[in-house]
Amino acid sequence: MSDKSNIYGYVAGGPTQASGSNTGVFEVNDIVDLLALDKWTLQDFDGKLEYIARSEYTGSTTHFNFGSISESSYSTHILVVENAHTVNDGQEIWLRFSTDNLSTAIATGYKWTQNFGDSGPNHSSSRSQNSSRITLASAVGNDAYECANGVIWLYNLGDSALQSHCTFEFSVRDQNARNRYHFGGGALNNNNTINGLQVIPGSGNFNNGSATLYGLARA
Amino acid sequence: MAVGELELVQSNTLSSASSLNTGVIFDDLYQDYVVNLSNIDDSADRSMSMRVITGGSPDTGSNYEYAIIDMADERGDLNPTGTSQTNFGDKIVSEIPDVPFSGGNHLRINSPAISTQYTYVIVSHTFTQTYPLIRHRRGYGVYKQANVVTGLEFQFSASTTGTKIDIYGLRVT
Repeated sequence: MSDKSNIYGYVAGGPTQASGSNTGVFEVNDIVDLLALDKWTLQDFDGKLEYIARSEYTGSTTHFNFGSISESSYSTHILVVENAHTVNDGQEIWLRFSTDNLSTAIATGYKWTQNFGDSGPNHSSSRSQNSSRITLASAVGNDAYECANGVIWLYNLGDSALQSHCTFEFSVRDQNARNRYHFGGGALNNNNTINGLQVIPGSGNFNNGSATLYGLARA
Repeated sequence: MAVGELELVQSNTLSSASSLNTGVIFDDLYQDYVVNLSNIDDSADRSMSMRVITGGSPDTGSNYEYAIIDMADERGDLNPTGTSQTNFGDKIVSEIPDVPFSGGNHLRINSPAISTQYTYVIVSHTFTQTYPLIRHRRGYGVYKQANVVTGLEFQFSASTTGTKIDIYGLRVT
């Protein structure tokens, strides 16, 4: 694209080009260029799931890490965990936050509550007021086809004045070859700007799977 | 603007609001909706309830029902239920904690604009109140009238500022 910074359109008074702020009359080629730069706004497309990043097991990526999450752009993030297969048997799946783009993951001060059950049938609940993580799922098996899949909605990550929260739901094939559900919520007991996320097994590593982070756009 | 896309229908940030009437937001372009509440907070505790709008007005009749699991970090589960309620109360919609406590909630609303069906709500809500308490509420609600629902009315226990209420639709046509 040629350098046409701030010269799109020809309506006098200074046409602009930015996501959510396009003014002026634009040539077709201008629109194509601005779409490629994600600076062209179509009202009907505003407000949607917007891809942020994906962390996928590659042989060396043993945890699902997100060191950049566009926390200031969204009040709600959605993290989808797929086919999370653990090296060790009977593992929990944990979520941790970071305030330094995941140079370190915070390992204290979480609170969470959840219900879970399996096709035994069994049903139970668990909770913590001061934990090293938010526990998302447990008893994940490590045989073939045993893994964890789930969705986490994350709220207020980028607001330094508010605590950050999540709701989650997981479906697991567990270490006893049973189907297992988990649902619940968690939070970090500090009001900080969260700018990193990490999904890890309770011990060991993942050896398959992925996690994909989206932002839920408001405008 | 294609089938299957999640689209923003309406976006609101509360400012000194004692109620919020969305106007007409439900139609046959979408069948399922997400009402997403984020940055749920205020300078003091508040609560929030919700009614559906039919025929241009909020339905104040005893037409609402709910059943939820109320989970916490300091006690076992509770199972509040309600039948013949005059609104979806704070247990299914939201409590509004005081800063820095906060929360998030996504309500999935099924088929509000179909005249031959009830309108169903699925709730998934996490919030904190007063160290170190955390709540997670999960369950359902139903508006027990086969009416065309065109919108929502939110009511707050006192004037409130800050909470974001956004409505998304899953495009079907």
